[in-house]
Amino acid sequence: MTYTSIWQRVEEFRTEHTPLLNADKIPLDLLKFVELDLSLDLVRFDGLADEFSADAALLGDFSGFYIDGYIFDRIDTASHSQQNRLRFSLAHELGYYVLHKVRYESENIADFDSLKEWLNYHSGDKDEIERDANEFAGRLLVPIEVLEPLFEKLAVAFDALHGLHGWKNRQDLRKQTCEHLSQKFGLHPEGISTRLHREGLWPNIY
Amino acid sequence: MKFGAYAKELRIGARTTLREFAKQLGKDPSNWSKIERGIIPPAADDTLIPRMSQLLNLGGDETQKLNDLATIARGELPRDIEDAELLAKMPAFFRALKGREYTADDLEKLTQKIKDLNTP
Repeated sequence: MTYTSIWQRVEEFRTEHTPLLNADKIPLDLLKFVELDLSLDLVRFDGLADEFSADAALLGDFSGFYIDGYIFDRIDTASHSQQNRLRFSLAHELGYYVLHKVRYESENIADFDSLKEWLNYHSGDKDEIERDANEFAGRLLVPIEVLEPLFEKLAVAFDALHGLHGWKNRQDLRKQTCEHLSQKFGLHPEGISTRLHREGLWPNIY
Repeated sequence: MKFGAYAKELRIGARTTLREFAKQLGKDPSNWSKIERGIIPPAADDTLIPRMSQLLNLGGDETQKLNDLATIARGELPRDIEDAELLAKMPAFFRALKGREYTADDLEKLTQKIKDLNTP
């Protein structure tokens, strides 16, 4: 899928689920959204992170998500970093739910060998399905209408302090920008950096 | 409709998360999740339905229906999960184990875990 088509689907999804996904609800409370608005089950799964390297996973019948037991038990008291990680994982799984349900169902996976083949074929960040889900998650958690004005406000201050636009090429100031925005959106600074690149708000540096 | 599905419908209608509701009831969230998903029946506890009724602010008809469905659920025999049902509960997508393929052992371990989560 193209970025534009994914972004369009994100905004349709956001509109379908007003007001919980509205821009003024940032950082999004996806656990509550998934459970109360989509009526999906959240199933505690001991060892999901330790043994299978995942915080969350969408069930094959699309009835809910498995959530790592350690995180599930500490949702309210988890560190910001853990909460951010779970938020992104859930947004990523929602990406599958919204973008790839039809494709998965059309595979007609009828036995465990077929499932193994499907899972192996679609693993790794370079896989199209993974990229789509990542992009969906990023756009959902970081709406452009919130990101752009916030970034421009920061840019005005940084322009005054560090010279017009020159600061955008400095790694230390980029890092500072991402860390600042990270708190607003409840997303890891690396995720913010990806959004700023993807939305064309700052140039590539080499 | 079964007890678990009806209990879930009423809870969501009251905009209460499973974790919040289980805590208010004094139940373990994982066990309550199994009840809502119809994997295990509600315990034979005379105070359960009245407490649910109070917490969810239910009317007489809703409370009666919940009570009737609980009685039916307690009378059903537990059953093993069939392969097709188990397959439906397996993850549809999995970001895990990046960089290497799932082996038969990986899948067997995952399958056993999923089975445990979806059986009494």
